[in-house]
Amino acid sequence: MAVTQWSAALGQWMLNRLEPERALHQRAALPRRLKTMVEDARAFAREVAPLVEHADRSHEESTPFAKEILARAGKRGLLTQFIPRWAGGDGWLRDTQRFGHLPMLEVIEALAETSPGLATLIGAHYLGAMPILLSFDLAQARRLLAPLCARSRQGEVAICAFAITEPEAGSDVEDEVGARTARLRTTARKVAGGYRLSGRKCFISGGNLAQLITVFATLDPQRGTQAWTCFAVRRDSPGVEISHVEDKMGQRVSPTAEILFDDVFVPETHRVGAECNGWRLNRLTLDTSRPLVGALALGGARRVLDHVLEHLHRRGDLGQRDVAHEVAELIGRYAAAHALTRRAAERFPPLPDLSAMAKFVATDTAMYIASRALDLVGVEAASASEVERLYRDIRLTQIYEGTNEINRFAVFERTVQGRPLSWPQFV
Amino acid sequence: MEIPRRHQATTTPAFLQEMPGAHSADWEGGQSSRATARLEHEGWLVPMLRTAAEVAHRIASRWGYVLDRPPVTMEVLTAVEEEIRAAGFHLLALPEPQGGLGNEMGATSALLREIATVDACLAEWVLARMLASLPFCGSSSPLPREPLADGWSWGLALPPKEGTESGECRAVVRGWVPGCWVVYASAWRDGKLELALARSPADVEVERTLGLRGCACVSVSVEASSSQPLRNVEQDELDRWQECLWLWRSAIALANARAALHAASAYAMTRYQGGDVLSRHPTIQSLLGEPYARLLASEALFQEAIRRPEFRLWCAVTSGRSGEEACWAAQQALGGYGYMRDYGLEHRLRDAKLLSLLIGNSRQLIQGALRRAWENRLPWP
Repeated sequence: MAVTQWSAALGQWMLNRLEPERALHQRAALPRRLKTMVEDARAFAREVAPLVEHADRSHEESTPFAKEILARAGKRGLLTQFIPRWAGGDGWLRDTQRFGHLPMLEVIEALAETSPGLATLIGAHYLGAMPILLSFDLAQARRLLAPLCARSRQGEVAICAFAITEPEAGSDVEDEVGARTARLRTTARKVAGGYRLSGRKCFISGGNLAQLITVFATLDPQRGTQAWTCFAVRRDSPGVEISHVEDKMGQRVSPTAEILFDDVFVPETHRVGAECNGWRLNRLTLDTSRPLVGALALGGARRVLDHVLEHLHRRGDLGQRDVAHEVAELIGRYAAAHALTRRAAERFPPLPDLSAMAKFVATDTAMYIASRALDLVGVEAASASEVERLYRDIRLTQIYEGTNEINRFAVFERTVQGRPLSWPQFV
Repeated sequence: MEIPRRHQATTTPAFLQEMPGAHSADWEGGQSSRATARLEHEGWLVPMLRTAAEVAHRIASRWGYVLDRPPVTMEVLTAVEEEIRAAGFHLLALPEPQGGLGNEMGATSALLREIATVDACLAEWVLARMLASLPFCGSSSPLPREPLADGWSWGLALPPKEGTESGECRAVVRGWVPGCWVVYASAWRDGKLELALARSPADVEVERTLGLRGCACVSVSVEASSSQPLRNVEQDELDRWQECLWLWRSAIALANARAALHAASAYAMTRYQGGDVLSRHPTIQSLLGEPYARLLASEALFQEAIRRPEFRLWCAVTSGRSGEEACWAAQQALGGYGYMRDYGLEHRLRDAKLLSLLIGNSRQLIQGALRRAWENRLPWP
């Protein structure tokens, strides 16, 4: 018990030290070990590409395909490589200290080159685990994540999911100003030995497959974000029910579910971070994941560009000055967005405004590239082609992790709080 | 090969029969062509559009879900085709003596817009029938009783294979149903452009497209030598058909976009976010307002293009892009709900993108429009 309290206190102290101004800006080339990891991810994506294609074409639920992919990914270490060893994974904390989330960004981008939906499927697991890791409660992280890591190495589907969106609280719960008045309806009631959770969470990536769901709930709806608290809820807890799996426009390989919590008991040991510290954990998690979403979109865009270049080269159109002009524009935009996402991911702890900028610039750029690519290739690209699927997949990146409109507000959030604009720091 | 029989198309389409006063001698007698203004004056156009929308709603509510989730069975395609024919939509482009609205571009476009507001796939399906019947407008060529599918605009005529006397024509057909007739233009004989009819195979694989999935798209190969040549066509005639196509497809794109923006507006007026309804947020007002303004401008140009054919190319340039932009904004306003298929908006963006591609690459259209304007010394729109 004493160890648990000491661990939680240390976690709180670490969390309080995570101020963007403290970040050291380090730029170093990835070592061979991390580069190999990226190559492995790329090879894995190619291996499961037929499953991704099946999931996209099938109008049945994609869950069986997702399970198969997750089982293979677990065996290859893709679901444990960014969870630190002290929490039962295969990752190194010193990698995060040195490179920020750059290695994860590269892996996500490599997966997204085959399918942004595949990258979401894998990435959603790390998003779910992130509040637990970022709370720096070492004993709790080990207790919650080590069994999942062990099971996934054996080829079982054992992942986490991140649950914040609600039917009446979407992008606003991902923005500081909006969250003050957001209608977070999932509530937690303190009872002997823990809490009782009630509410409904929707659009949860991997929600129907996850064993552990990090849920944000409020202890007092009148207190706004000040009462938000994060809980790690086991999916097999009595009262947890998957009510619906969504039929989506794209990223069909990554199932999205609605989860009901009906008076679910959560022991106190499963509270992530301190009571009423949920908003801070939520923001830190999103600030970390937003550059990754940008990279996910750009991975898809890169594949689209490859297709366009190949098509135009085959047709001999690249010799036309106007076509060459347009393609150069696409490549230039891609390169700029790519540089920005990498710069944002290198920072640990993340800089909120830089992360938000990386997300909306990268996803808007990727969507622009996908749309113009279809125009360049023409109607034939819209019929059963990879470009058509990537167009649908990339579209989601402009919506999740806070719509791009909300992310634009996030750029000035710190200014509203009276802090100076941080843009000179990354120029 | 079965010789197509002349279609008994002198009866009034079913959706017109449902209208009060539709049986007047003025309509059935095939008098002089009726201008849209007169239709409006007589109070015909509005009830006609309303009836068309009701029919479209009935078809879409019954088959829309199935059609958007391929593979669609041949039975479903045949059943929808029967409903479309029973409604009389397939005769829209024919002259009045044959039961349609003839060259009345205003009325035909208005009808297509009404249908596209319900479902763009259905409008594209009707458009395929209209395009296929264009070559029969006012000509003595027999109109097959079986479903006609367009193919002429994409009918690439390849030269005869070496050592043979037959040419192969590969046509992309939209609005395909099993065993339909494909109308296509081929130039394999003496280099002249020849209009021909060929029976499509019944077991062609339907392509899975980005949008307009309900309107089955197939790629068929027909042997030019074995098909029924109808007559020769001149390039001018094909150009005129192309102008009709631009206008009609623009009508569908604009109606699709308007429907998407209406859905997003309805959502924004009821959904609370940040303590107030979405529609009061300046960001949402800009997000939806700017594409709406551009859509209104495109619609104004569209109205102008109905009367003046020289504006149809410009209309195509703007309507595809503004339709796509409006649908994107509508989906963005709905956030996660906009991406889920159960909420009925995501297909609007897919349809808009495909419509934009079908209208044509905007770069090439702009170049073509300017070339025409400069060559013919036409005034700037």
